[in-house]
Amino acid sequence: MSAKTTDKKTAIRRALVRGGLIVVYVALMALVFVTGKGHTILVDNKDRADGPFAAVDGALVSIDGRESLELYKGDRDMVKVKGQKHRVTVESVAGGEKKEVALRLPMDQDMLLLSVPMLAAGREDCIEPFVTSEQPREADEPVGNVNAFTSPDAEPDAAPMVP
Amino acid sequence: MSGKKSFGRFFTENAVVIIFLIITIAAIPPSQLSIQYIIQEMITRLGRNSFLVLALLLPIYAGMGLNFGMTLGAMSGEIGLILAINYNIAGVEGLVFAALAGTPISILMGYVCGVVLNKAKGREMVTGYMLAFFINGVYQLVVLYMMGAIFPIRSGAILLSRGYGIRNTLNLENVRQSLDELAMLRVGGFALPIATFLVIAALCAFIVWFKKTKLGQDMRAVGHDMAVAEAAGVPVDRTRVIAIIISTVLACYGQIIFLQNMGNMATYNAHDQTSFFAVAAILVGGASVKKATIPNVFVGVILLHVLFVVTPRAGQNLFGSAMIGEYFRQFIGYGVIALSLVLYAWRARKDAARAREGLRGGSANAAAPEAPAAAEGAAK
Repeated sequence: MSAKTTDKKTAIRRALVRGGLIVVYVALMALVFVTGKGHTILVDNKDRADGPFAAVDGALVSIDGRESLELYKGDRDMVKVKGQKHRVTVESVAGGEKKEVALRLPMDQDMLLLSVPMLAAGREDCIEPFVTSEQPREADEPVGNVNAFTSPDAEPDAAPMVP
Repeated sequence: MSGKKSFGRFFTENAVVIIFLIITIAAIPPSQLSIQYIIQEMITRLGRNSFLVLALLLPIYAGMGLNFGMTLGAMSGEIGLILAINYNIAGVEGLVFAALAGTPISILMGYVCGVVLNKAKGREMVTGYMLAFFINGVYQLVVLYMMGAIFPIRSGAILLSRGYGIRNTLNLENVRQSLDELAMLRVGGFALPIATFLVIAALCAFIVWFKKTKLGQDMRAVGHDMAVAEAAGVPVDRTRVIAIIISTVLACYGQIIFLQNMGNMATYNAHDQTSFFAVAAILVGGASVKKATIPNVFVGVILLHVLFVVTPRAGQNLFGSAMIGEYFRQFIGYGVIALSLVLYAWRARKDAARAREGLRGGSANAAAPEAPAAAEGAAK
């Protein structure tokens, strides 16, 4: 076998290994993206205007087996979760049947509203995207690495981070 | 006479550590801080800073001095964190995502830095320092003007109200202390971030292993004498570039670990003093421009940060102003770097003089351990 053929084989093998490493790298990035994607769930115990779902007077809501939230009529609480698949349980403070619903959160939504009355009714569409209205924002503080030494008229530097 | 000389030699070799130890011990009583508090602070700061300081070791092995260019890696880590916050990736996954996103940037930055430093052999430290200023300008251009305008940013919380540019301070709530809290051990009133320490231990193991590899040996050969290494067939420039790339990538990860512990990020300033404090720490630990070990890192982080913790309170109690202590921190940081560089230059001149004396047939016994070898090399 000539040296030229061996070189070619080595080059192909090297390219394959490098390609494989890049694929593994991208796959790992996609994996942490999907499993680490954070969502904020607003657990809302209010009457639904769009259906016959009245607020529950005293409900214990638990997401993924965490400590239960105690919600009375008109209450709203917030839970931060990671990933897309979750199990939510709801039961009355007075006791009774415990209902469990499996939720699959849309990847592109950061904030979602979970309706406790719909959850208590066992509806799987109890979660929906929560859209906030555009609020006027506060003026930004000066940004960038301004430096009064090189630019005497510039704003003073922000305090450096203490290690 | 000999005892006096050996004491003098011990003092000059460990002057920075000794001076620092004296100042630190003197500052503890006026600070009125409990030993328990100081120990807990040291545990936290060891986890926060050690990785960054360890990133300095490989360039020292390769004879490139203290890598002030590690700031480039810190900036890469910050870009990774900005992306993690932008996509709302929480917990350890957010940190891994930031590291994965920052890695290619830091490799590119490390390559650029290595190539530039190869053009400035013998002046690597000042060149790295100036290069960090230059890349800081590029970083500001990207983060202040391109993010949101060219690179899409979907999170309104981190975007400036004008529609492009990142806010001055980012809340890293999603990833705050996620590595530290992953395995927090509470023993005797102390909280030990085991997961962070394991990551640092893994890096130490990597460094020990790496030194034994062919590339590690090449680095040490280049660090000892570039001309001899070149003659022996070691690709000097390539080896130096690899040392800087590894250091820059490690600095990227180190900055992510540092910032997850802090819990917020000054978008435009967080990296400013990264290299400065890391360099000060390793020098305080007894390292020099040419020689550094893993114990130097931990001794340095502990000594420097004990002083950082106690001086503001000591300043408050002694002079009625905590700012005295803050100024003292800056003064100490720069002072340590200056002192150790001066001592290094002085020692190098003295060793050279001893070697010359040995060649002339003077008292060779008084020469430094490395001086006879140097003289031998020169004679050959």
